[in-house]
Amino acid sequence: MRKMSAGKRVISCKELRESLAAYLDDKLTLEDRELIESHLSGCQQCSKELDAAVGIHDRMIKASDALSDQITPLENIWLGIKSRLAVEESAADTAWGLARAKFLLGKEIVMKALFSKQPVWKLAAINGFVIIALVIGLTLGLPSSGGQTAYAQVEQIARDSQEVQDALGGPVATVEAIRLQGDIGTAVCSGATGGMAAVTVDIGSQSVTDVSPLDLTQDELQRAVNVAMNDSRVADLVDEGAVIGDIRPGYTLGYGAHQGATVEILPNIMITAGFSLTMDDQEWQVVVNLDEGKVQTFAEVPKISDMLMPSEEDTQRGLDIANADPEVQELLAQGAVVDDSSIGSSWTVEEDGTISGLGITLEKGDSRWIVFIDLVKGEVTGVQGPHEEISAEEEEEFFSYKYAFGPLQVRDILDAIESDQSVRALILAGAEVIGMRPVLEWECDTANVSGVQQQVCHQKDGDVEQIDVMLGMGAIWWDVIFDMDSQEVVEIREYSYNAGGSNTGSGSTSTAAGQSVDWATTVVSLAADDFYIEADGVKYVANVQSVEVYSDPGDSEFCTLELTWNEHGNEMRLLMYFVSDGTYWWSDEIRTYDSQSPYSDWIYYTGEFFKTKLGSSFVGDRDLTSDAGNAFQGEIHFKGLELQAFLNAD
Amino acid sequence: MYVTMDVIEKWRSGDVEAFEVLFQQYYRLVFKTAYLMVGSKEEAEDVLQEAFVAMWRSRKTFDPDKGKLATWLCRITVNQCNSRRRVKSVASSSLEEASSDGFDLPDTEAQEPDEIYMQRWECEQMVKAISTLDSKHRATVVLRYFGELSYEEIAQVLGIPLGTVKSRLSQSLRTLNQVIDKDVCGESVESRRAGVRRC
Repeated sequence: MRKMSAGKRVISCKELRESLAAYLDDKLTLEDRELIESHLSGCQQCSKELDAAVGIHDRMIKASDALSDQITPLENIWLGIKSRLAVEESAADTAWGLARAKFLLGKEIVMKALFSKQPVWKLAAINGFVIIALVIGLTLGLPSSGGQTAYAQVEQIARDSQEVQDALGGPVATVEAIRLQGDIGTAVCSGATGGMAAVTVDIGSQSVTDVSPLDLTQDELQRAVNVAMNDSRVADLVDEGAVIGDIRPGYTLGYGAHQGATVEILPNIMITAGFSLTMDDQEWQVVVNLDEGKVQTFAEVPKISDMLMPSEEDTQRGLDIANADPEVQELLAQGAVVDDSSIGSSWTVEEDGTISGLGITLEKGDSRWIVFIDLVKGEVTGVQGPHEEISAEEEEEFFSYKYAFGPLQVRDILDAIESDQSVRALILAGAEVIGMRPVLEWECDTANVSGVQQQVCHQKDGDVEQIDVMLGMGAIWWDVIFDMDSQEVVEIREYSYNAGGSNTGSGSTSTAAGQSVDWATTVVSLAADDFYIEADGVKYVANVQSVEVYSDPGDSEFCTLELTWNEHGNEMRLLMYFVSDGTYWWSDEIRTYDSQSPYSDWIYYTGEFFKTKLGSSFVGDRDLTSDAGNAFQGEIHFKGLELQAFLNAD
Repeated sequence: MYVTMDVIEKWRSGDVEAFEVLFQQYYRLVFKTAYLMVGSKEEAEDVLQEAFVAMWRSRKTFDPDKGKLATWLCRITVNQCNSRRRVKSVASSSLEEASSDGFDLPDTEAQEPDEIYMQRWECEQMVKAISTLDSKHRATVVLRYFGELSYEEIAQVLGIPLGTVKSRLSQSLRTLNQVIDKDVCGESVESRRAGVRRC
């Protein structure tokens, strides 16, 4: 901006000072240089500014030259970067490898389980079969491959090694977490008798080069206990009388928190110490990450009685029904035998929890037949087959060619989902990637299968638009739905093995920017467009997928809604107590945790909140402020709240 | 091997050897930039790693027609540094706090000749002064003097107009002059060694 003075252009002192660097660097037009020089000739102050700027400018140039000699990075930094590249790609392969479950039940049914757009048990509605066991199986390790892939070679060399067997005190049971860096593979081997060792294999020389038993030293055992006892969840249970079981070594595949915020795949397997906590008939699994000095996993172990699994009687009855079926009898007469590993691998669960169907597999040579058994009708409803066992080449083609699902793309998807805050929260809480599958569209028709009218589903043609990345932690797993087009996580679905508790609720929180919530149990439902708790100045939005939702169903006069989640590294709880006088319901007390670490206490809110007629929902906005007597103050904010208690009232 | 379009194309198609050639060519630039932005050698090494891993991951997105590789790499580096600064500020440990203790330049040896000692000390003063600039001005100064980028390239890396590059640099020179005046007024090598300040 030039000022005009008596027809001549001039610049102000301020403008000159803004242009000094460009003047020194000769980045001005000739006209601008002349303006500056003209100004300088008549302004002593600006001349001083120029002298100072010249001095600093020269010193900066000298400092730049000197700094190069004084500061150099570590000499081996390139090796670190190179190994990161290799690890990233092999980690992607490993994650991918984990998704390749063993094809126990034949091609079609497994494909339906692995590639259904529906959560696995929703298949029950389509096919009458639930394949929970297969999904659990994904976590069990890499499949044994007959092919000559580097992974298969690492597994084979480790399995055959006498040194490994000696370290494990017997035969190798599993080879897991295989990673490759060039010709060097590392893996964790577990022995049939319980030992565990980290093994390094040189594929080039086809030999094991290092075996390190994963034993915990006395110091590590003590540290594991100390770390665990610093976690309020563990400490509270121990205070209540829970007993700590044997501490076992373990490992984690190496997702780690870096700099407190970003998540990356770490190059090394990290050693963990795991133990069970038991109290009465309840059991919890605790895993301490010794490298990071924190509890990595804390999960209640679902009681077998809570899991909707077929009983021994169901299984025996199913086998009896199959044995009585003429088609099955014919197959057995031809030399087919029941694949023992298929018994109990698939079953049908009705909405009321009854086990209504079973699937078993018959095998003869490479051929397999799937037998569908209806336990309610007491008959075999279909025999599918023969299916040829899928070859390693077919498997490779199916996974990597058909869906162009190469390691780099896997790595890219993992990177992308980790940038989603909800996913990052899950991974920081200890969830691990257990597999990845394309979300496919299915077309279903009714067709005659072996004389029985059944729904038969086929994959629709077309490109894969979404990928389901499966995360698991303890008894919970999540389907993280990643949209290939927008390159964003568009949905996160949470599942739990524990489907038996009638008071266990369901919950979801939005993955979008807002903090909308939607929680429900059999007695209370709460949804809000915007929700947060402020406890001692810290804001909690419950923007995580692992909010535990529970209600004490109480009676006609009393019930609760109880929410628990982790946020900002703290456990947060929201407890709402509801009462009713037979005409109205309301909440007379609400509590949250006070955000103190490691031991939180309650912030109380008492009064008469949300008073509404029984059978109706409270609808509106509410901002609640905690009672004056609390040690720490809090606020609860609900916008667009829709809340109803005593859902089971007549 | 040296950096040619052939090397760049090989890197883009996933050739690790070509990537190493690019690393050898550019790691000093990235490290120096990162060091001046984040203030510690260890963190700068982290940034160096992250920047090159990001460079590898994003290799298919680099378009040679849109600018020089060095400019693109500087942008990745500055972004890495900024994201660290955000993380640090969330954790209540800002870069400014970290650098208030001074940059971790190597210790000056007591028996060094005065000339070399002076050179080191001078460099240290400049680096310390740069650490007092806010991140926007600091990035501009670092890219100009230590990254040796042109004004146009700085504008491209930081996503700011050319005029803003000029004014930020001028403002920074003025601030640096004031900081150095205030901090080291007349301190001599001898008095510094003796732990004595003259003003």
